[in-house]
Amino acid sequence: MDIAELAPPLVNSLMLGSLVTLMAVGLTLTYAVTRVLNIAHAELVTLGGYTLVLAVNQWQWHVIPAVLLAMAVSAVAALVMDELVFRRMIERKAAFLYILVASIGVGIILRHLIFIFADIMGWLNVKARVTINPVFRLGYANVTDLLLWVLPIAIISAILLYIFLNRTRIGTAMRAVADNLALAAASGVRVVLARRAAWLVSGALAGLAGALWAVYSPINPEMGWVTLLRVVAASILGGLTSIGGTIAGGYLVGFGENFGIFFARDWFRVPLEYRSIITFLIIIVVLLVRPQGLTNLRFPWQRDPNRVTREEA
Amino acid sequence: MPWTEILVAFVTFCAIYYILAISLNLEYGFTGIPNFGKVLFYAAGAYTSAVVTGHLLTRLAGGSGADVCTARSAALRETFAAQEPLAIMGVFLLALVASALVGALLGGLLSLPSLRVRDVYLGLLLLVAAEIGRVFVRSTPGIICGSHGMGGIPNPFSWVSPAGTRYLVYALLCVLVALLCYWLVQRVVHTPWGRVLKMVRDDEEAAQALGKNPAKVKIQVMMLGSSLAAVAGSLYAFYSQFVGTEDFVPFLTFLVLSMVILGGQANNLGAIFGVLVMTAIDRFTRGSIFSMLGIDLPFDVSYARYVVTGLVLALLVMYRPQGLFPERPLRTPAWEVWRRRAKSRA
Repeated sequence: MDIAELAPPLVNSLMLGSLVTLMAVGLTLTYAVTRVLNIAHAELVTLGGYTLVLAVNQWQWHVIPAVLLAMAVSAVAALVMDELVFRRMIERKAAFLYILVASIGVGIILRHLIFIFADIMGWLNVKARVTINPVFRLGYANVTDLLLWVLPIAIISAILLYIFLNRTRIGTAMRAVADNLALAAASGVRVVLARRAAWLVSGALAGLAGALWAVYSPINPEMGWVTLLRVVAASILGGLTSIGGTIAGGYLVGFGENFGIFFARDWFRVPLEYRSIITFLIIIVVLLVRPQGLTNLRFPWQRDPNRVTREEA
Repeated sequence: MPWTEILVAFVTFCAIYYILAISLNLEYGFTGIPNFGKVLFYAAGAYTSAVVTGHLLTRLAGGSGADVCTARSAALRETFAAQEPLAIMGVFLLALVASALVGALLGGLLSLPSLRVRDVYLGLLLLVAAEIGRVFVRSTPGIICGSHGMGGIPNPFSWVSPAGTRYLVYALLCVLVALLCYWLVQRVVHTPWGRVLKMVRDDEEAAQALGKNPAKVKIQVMMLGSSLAAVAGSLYAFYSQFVGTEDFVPFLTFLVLSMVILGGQANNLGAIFGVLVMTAIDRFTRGSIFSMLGIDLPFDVSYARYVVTGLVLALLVMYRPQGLFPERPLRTPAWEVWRRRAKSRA
């Protein structure tokens, strides 16, 4: 095989992995801090995509303020979602399963509101009017300026999120809430503030991912929903609680899908349409075999911190 | 008379959705298995029916089983069904039985994850399993024509004319099957076995401590529930006369879930109410009805219907997750004895 043939899946993996990572860290963040597995996260992504299209195609904005607007709109939508639905349910101590179903319901509502908007505007399948230019060739693939933007944005966002969670007061409060809500509240952590910050950040990241996606390829109102299972796969690989694990999971999904289908096609003539099954299988295998995902990975010679040896007991 | 047609379609869908609702109630309401992959078993029934008609009926009609996807083959099946009542009725019954069996098998297979994961994770896993099935069938032309779907699944009463009577007879048949399913499920759950289901739902460890086997019960429930869902899928295939992967999206599972929650957890009579309300929302908000009434909207009405369905689902789990109608005690022999004693004491 020609080594240059590997370039297209590599470029696609980096792109898909970065976008999935941006979406998945938000999903992990809200789950870790507020214990809501928010299926409607998908619709926050779509909302960001359509906000960018509205700003760029309709209002003729430059792409950078349009991306910022998309982030703001999705962040506000995420906050409203939490205040109206999830916070009330958690305060009434609703079961996790009911919260999951509520988020599915919220997702259905938001998705079809976007459908109505898109139908009225004639945007059921639309691409943002932003030109993407190839910068250099790598093997058989073009590396575009978009990829050179998306890759650092994803990595810098992840690093900023890490610094935010570990070095700022509000971030520490969020981690405290994630670890033990009752203890955090008793220690004087402003739980509601931490909660709101988590939802705002999560929504903003989803909006960013959606806006970049709208520049990358044509979007439709189902784009978030269609990508959702990839995002869930990445979050589950991160054990639903670890930001680092989620980043690794996002790129694992990106590389797994693109290289998985590349080799499957090369060796077994599997058609390209099967590629999403790779992601689905990741979810099923992780849930069945290793529900904690990539967190607490140990080498065989390392000691399990949770196991108490006889001497200690 | 389009209004009678709409009404007959409504009755048919109520019957089909009611079978789905009691099958989900059996798993979700009674046993606590959040089967968010319900649509997979519904699809399995529809596709089994398509396989049986595609291969058996085409051969009976004198065609070849190799090109069942073509329009010519579909037309051949339809004209044959209109002339040969016995053949099409036989094929229909065979497809119904085959669907029930395939559903039971698939349900047994997919109950295995429920022995390992629970709650939210199980729901997610089954949802993903259903999507794998859909993407797999859609991308494989060898299975029921892949993404194109298969037409020419004749109505078992094709030989009845006019068409209005035909659909009415089929609607009545669906109602009959739904009543049978209801009777079967009521017979099965009003037993000590039914109480074990609720015990597994409420406290699996306690059930184990009392010597019950939750794993066995879950497998049995998934087999029975999936078999019922497959029967519903088979009825749907013969009604719509076409199967395609776009009919079996996860949304349908959540539509049925909203029916179950609306009617009340573990309450099969209440489910009738849920089915009537949600099917009315589903059927009476089609674009064709709005244009008949002279209402012109700048967008596809279907989207508004989905918004309403999502709203119902979200509000229900927020405020009444146990449903509008309360759960009732199972009329097992033990409960009858207890009630008689309570009465004589009073």
